Amino acid sequence: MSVVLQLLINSLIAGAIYALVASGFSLIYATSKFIHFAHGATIAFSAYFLYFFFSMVGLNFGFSVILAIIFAALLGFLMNIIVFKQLRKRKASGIILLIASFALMILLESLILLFFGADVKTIGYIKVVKGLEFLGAIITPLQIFIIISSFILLCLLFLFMKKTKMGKAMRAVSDNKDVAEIVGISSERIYNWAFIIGSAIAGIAGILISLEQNLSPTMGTGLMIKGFTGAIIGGIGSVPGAILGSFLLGLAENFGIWFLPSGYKDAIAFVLLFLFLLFRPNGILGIKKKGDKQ
Amino acid sequence: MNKKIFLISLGIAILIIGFIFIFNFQKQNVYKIGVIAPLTGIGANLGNPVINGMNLAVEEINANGGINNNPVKLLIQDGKLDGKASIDAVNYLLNVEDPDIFTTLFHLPAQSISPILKEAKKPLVYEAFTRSIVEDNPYAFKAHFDSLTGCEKLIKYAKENNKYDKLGILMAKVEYNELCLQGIKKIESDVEEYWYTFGETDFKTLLLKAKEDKIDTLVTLGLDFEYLGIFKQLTELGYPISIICATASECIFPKVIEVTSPELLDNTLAIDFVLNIDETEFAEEYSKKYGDSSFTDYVYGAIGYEEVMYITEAMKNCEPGDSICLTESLKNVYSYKTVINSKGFEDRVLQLTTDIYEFENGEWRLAE
Repeated sequence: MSVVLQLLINSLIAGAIYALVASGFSLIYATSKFIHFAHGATIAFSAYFLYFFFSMVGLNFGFSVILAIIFAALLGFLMNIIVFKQLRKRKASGIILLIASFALMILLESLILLFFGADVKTIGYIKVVKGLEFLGAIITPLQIFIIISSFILLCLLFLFMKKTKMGKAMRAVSDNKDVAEIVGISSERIYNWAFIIGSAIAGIAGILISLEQNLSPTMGTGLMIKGFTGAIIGGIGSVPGAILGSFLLGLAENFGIWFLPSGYKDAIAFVLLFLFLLFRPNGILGIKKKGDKQ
Repeated sequence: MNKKIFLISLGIAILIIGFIFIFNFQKQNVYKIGVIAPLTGIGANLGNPVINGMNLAVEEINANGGINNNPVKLLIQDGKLDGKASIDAVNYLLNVEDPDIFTTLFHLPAQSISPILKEAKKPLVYEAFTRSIVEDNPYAFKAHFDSLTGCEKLIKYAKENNKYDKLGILMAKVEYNELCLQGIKKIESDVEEYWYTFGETDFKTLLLKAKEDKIDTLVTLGLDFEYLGIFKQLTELGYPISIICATASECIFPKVIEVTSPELLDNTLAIDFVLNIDETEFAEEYSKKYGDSSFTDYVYGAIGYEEVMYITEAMKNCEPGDSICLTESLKNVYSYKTVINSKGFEDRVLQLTTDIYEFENGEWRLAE
């Protein structure tokens, strides 16, 4: 029983982290319709912003967290207006935007290297001690916080998309940009907000991950791949789908390596990705579009 | 008029020939060491100190008149701990600078560039835990800790001193770790294996598996982020598992101490060939030039410094540009200025004295 519970807890922690990555990524994809790989670099940047404000400058932790989230959102906004907006003006295809996003990811990671160096860093805010015991399983207060805060955040995101005017406008642009513009929704404004909100979520993810794990300049790349996999499984472009897919991925990885040799963890994730791409390309909650084969 | 043009042309021709002569003269009389090291990305925290140490040694040698009155020059390229980037760097150096010898850090770049250098008949000194490249390439020389023999020695000590009941390994699936397992299995056949993909940071489920398999000691070899993750997560989970690691100086460093319970750190076993480097004259020189440095900086700085010292000692018997002579000379170099007490090459493997250490009360204690 305790083993199953521990595996479930491990899966929830991993899933919550993947979900935070995937939801921001999916929000940007849903509106902008391109795979924004530099989202991973935003995660890394926010973690390093926190490190800079808290560990280097010595600001109050809470204030540093708020600043890190604001700077992450600002970074996303700047990426959109400086790079992607200009490319869209030149009628660049999704592939060009994807390549530009890759280039941005490399640039941002290199900037982190330049300013902070390559060695692994820790925030050092939380004293590491043995976790709390719950029915034989162990979980730390930070891990509980990660799971709860990601659930709350994802619920808020869901409500934002369903209930607010901006959320509805985002969904309208996601469904059909041209029709949305006819009814007076500025798609550029929506792209800006998608990047700001998506990057702010990436900022929160970066902060939580930096507290749970370590900081390294390339930390966002691996997470981005997992977040992307989660988004594909759940249905790319669907924020609730991306969240569901991420939790499923966390479960599959952790329960998978319990039964299979442990080296197969990444293989499990990618087999799952291929299976979905082959047999259910729209994912679990993805919207089937006219002309899709299924 | 024609005479004037002739004289100007002659002057220009003499100048060009003169420049070519001077350029070739200089080119002929510099000993060049091509260095491929990770200067950015994963491994850069170790690659940069190696370069610092090498620079320190080259400055010292050149200040004393160079080798056979010729200066020594480092030609440094960023290999990014990536096979393709390392191959590009080697091809660039071979085609443009043609160094006498190449050096690299870690197994992956060494494995990638070794066939090219074997073809070019250029000596390669690589700092990695595995000796397979030496077996494939007659121009290759291995330095650094040897995972096959090192792990064997470590587990032999652990077994003889009853340091474990049931042993497991928790390692990234890479060649140096597979060789380490081979070494372990020479002493202990009953070993549970928990492999992960290189780059993994979440070890919770693997540690749970080890606990359920009644493992009380895990052997691990890795990079800083792996040690940090394993020690931190083991502290949080509180499982009664001890760690055996290599090398000591890389395994427990200040950040690991910050995130690990003292109980878990105590009785950690490790092997190393360089431990008190921070108390040496070399460390003093290093920090004088590069400012406050970490223990790992000193270790890798010393590795780079030592590398230049034995290479330049071997260069004394050869003309600049004679790589074949340098390969032979390097095989027989025994006496040079050393900071890590290496004793030259035997079968093209650098002879290092390794000791077993046990972590006790916040510091490493020599166990054997």
